[in-house]
Amino acid sequence: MHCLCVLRSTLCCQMPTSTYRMLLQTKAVPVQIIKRDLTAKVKNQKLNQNIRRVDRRNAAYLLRHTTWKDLVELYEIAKPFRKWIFLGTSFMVVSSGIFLIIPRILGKLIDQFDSNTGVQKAEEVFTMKIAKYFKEQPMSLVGLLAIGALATAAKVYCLQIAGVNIVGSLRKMVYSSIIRQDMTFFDKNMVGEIGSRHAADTVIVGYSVSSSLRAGVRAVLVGVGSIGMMLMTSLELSTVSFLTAPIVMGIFKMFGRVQQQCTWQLQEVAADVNQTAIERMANMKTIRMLSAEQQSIDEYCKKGELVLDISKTEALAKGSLIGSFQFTGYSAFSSILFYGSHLINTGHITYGELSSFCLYAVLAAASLSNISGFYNEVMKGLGASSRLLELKNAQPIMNLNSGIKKTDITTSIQFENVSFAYAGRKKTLENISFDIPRGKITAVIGPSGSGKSSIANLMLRLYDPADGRVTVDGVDLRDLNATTWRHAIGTVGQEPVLFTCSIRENILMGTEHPEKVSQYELEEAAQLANALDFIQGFENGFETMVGEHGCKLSGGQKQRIAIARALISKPKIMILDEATSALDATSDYLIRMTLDNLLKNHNLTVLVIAHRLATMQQADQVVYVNRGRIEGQGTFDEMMKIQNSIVEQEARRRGIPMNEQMSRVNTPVARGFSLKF
Amino acid sequence: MSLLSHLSRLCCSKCSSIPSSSTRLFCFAPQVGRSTGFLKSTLIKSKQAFRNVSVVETKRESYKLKNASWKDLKAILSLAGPYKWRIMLGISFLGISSSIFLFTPRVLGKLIDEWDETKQDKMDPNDKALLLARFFKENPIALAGVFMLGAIAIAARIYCMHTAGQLVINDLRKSVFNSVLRQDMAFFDKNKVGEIVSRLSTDALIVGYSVSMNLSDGARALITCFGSGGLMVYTSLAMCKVIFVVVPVIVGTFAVFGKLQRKYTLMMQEAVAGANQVATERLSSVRTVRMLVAERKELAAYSDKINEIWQISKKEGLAKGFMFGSFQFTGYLALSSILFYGSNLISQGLLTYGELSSFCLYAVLSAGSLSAMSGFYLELMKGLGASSRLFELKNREPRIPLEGGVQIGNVKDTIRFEHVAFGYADRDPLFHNISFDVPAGKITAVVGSSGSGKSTIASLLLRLYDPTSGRILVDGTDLKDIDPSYWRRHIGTVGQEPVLFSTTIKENIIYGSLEPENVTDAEIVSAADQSNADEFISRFPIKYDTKVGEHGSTLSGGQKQRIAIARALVNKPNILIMDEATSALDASSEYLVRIALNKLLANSKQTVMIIAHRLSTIKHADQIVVVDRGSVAESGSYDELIAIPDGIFRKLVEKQTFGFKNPESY
Repeated sequence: MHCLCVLRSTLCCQMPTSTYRMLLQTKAVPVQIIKRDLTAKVKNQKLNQNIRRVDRRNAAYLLRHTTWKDLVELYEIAKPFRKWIFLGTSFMVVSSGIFLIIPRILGKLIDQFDSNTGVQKAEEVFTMKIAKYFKEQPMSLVGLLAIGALATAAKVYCLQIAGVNIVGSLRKMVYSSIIRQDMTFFDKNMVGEIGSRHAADTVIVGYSVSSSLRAGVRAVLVGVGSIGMMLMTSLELSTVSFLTAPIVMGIFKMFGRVQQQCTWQLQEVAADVNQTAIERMANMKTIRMLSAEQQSIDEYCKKGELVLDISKTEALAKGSLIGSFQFTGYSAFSSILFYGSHLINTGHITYGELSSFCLYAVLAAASLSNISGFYNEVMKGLGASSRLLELKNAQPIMNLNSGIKKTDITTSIQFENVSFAYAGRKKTLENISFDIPRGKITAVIGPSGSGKSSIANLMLRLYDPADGRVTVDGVDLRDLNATTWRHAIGTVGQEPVLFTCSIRENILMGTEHPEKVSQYELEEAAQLANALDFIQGFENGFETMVGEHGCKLSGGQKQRIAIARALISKPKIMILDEATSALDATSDYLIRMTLDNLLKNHNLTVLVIAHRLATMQQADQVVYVNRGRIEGQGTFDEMMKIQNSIVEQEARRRGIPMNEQMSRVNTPVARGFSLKF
Repeated sequence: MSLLSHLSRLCCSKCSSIPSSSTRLFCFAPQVGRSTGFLKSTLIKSKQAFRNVSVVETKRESYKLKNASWKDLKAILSLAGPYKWRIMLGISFLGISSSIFLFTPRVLGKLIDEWDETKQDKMDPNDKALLLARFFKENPIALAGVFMLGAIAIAARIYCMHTAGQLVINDLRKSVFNSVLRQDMAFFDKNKVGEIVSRLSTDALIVGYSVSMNLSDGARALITCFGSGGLMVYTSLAMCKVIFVVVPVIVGTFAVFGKLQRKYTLMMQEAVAGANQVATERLSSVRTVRMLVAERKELAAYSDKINEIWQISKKEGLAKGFMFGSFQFTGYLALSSILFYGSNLISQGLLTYGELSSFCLYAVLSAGSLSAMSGFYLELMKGLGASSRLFELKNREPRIPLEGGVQIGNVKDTIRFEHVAFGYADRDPLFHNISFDVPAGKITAVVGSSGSGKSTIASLLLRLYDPTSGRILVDGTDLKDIDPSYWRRHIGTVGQEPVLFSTTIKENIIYGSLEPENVTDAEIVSAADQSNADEFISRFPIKYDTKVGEHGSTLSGGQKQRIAIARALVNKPNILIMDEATSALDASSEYLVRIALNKLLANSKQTVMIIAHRLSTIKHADQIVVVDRGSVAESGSYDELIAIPDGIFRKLVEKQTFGFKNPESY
């Protein structure tokens, strides 16, 4: 056991994320075999231990290798907007150039007024002429400053636009990647956490990109320019300044690292807090019914405390960084003045030159300060981006757009020795084999938790089987184009989900080309689903807004809109997963009549999943599933016999009088009678 | 407000002129042409209403924006009240560091003059700065020590302010979350959860930063600005003339662009919340998106939101660009003027080089402070922009409070609905005259077609909403006078769509308990056994500690429903509301749950209301109430109702049993 854990940890740490996930799934089988002999408690402890260990190592690995790789990827995202970046940088060069040359001219201006300075160097004659010119015409200097200011304004505008576009691109990429992931991905990752990370991390990463474009590049440019001018003015003074540079750089590196780790932890905890808030507020009615408001607040506050703890450490790192910078900056400046005054006394430089040098030193210091801020922001961005880029680059195991395009069935859909388990769970289905013939109704029944809905999920290819295969006319479902296949299937689920828009838009969600659907077709689908009456009864008709997740409609109304949505694209295959369980008697009856009519006229292939035997009467064949296995298959009459036998066993085991149970729950239909016309 | 009132009256008069029944009759017209005409007329009406609403909201927004500043500023600052000692400590450290770093340029200026022997005879022997300069000239290490002290003070200040900021953010988030949780259901019908969460996470951050770290930076900028200004005057009064010309221009620039910035920040917040709402909703229903193969469509919807953000950001970029440019221009203009004039004064012998150096350093510090003040002003504006919506959430009072009123937790005689009328916000009335009794200790079933309002009756009984007219009496006491939380705690509710949270089975079951830690394992197992949930829970490897996945996604619908029933039973409630509680169960489980409920009723005399579509589940009810078209159509026992010729209930029964040869077998 220990040997396997160590090996597993090692492998997980070294492999990329996509392989990491496949490996976890692959390893599930042998681990389960080994664990079969352990007691429940020990098994539980081992499982938690393994997970904790793997996660910790994985995090450490990511942290070590995150910096340069992620930085490169961030700038890959920025590439499409390099025109804006180039334009902004050009304006930056203009404004920086102007504001860098000013101090030198002003220095010469000082010397112009000093009659004591007698010595003139040959190469400085040109600069003196310029200073003399500005002395006589001050308004020209104002004009030059105005040009520099306009260039600054243009620079900020261009680079901000580039930044926002980059953020927008990043958000789209991450969202696009998330929405393409397998269902397994969503079983493992909380939606609230993904949403929070998507929202908050893109802001932080985007700010890093923006600030590096706007402030970072400018800081580097002005810094290099200032240093160059410092060297021109006085080599001796520059030597003093450069002695302090290594100290400052060391400080940046040290505290930058601490900052990065704090940001990482902060993101994790913030996502957790948001997930709690989203879940509670999204189910407000349940919270209110249970009078659980105080509990929700307590939970939220408890998680908020974690944020505070991490923030204290971050504050410490930030304070130390800025304080250290202030100390070294002022020390350097004092050293310059100290030594500069000495040089003036010995006649090596003039007062004007010292003034120029001081101004350049201040500019250089300010640039270093900006670089320090920029460095911190980039560190924050890298902390936020590593997880974000993982989301962006996560490849679904199932590809949405490749494979054979099949939209109809000629023979049947076959489940061949299919076994399946959700991620991290025990087997839901085991060795399932049955056919779904074309143009027929196949019903799957069984008790709650026996895996009936999983059969629908596999048929829609929301998941792939762990063993065996699902074939359509002999072709493996994994070889089909998933998108095209799903378009061919109309699905009505166990719990209808509507979105926050109008009834019309909700129904059109089910079709590939909403703009091509006519009002008549819309009404036809609604009529077939028995939804037209109440829709037209609303004041706004089809334009009525349904509220968040359809909360302004009753359960039955939502279900009928969901049925209309499934019918709008005229699918060849229908899956009804307890589709009528929320409907009243009248609607239930009408839906059954409608479906019967559809079958006769359109040759639909139907898979019905239900609890109630009454809805099985129309089925051509019935499959009885219990505890992940098929326990019976055949016609309705044949199934009634099997059902009676199974129910009899259950009744005996639970000590319930069989007559009472049978008479109330499973009243048989007289032989020969059916709804078909 | 009066405009809104008029608009409401106008809508009412429009609605009343077309009663519901007439609308429905009109809809039944067979011709497609007439339906189309009706739909067009509806669309036109819809557009007009929408336009009116937009106009009113726009005016209201402008009004709010005008009066938001000072009131919100006070509200923002009051958030920092509980942490004033920490903030005061930070400002104290700020005083230390500012003093050190403000006095340094003067000393350094004297240091320059000290080296110039030609000027020595002019200096005042009693000048303290001169004495300090001489001391540091001979002891350079002491100067480094002073700088170290200043640096430590800066570090301490930042730590205090940063942690104060996080504390404020935490408090603000808690307050808003607390306020949101207390709102009535009508609030959630109107407000989207994704948007609320975005406010909670992002806006709170902005507001908290405004009132703490930003406050500190602002204070530092202010001290440095006035300190530098004072020392500039002290150094050379003549030179200050130049400064006084430039400062008004700079301040004017800030005022103009600050206002513009605030406007765009507000728009930006709205756009970001919109994008987050789309993402949150789609991601939380990703299974449905996948089933409908709508990934591309969803990405397009999200892209639209992102583009909105970009459009607004272009304007923000323009405002920001001009502000930075203006600042750069005026700053350098001031510096050039100082050096120009200063050099002239030196040539006349009125100023020394050291003094000019000091003055320049103070001017640079002053300019830096003005820049920091501009940043402070902007952040404050952002905070005000973010806070207006946040405070609206924080201060909103629910129409139905959580506490307050008579504490009644049981029924002795009867619950009575008296001429109750109700409609959801912005919707047509659902009821217009509901009257019936729910006797104590009896089972009352409510039946009717989908959309007739059966579930709403349960919501009204739980007081999630209040009736628009009529009233609900409990033993003669109006429900509005009863403490809502106390009342709800004594009602066990199982809803139409079971909602579980992302925790363990055990925690889900005890979630509704007042004191979860006091619930014993035996009580949990007992409740689970009664709802037939113990059977499948026991088969999980870690039993009651099994995690159910997000919203219970790893359980089947029937399994979720049974856990929800156990959660309702664990409190031993006096009143039970079953809203289609068994619709997701299979036949065997339904039977077992019904047997268990019968035992409960026989032993503890609970008052039960059942809302059901499946008529088989209500055959044993003591009385049945049939709801149709907004009123009670029939009421009585099963046998009484089934005996009414042409009765609505009888028709429902006949339809559900269609196909069975012997309906009498029930």
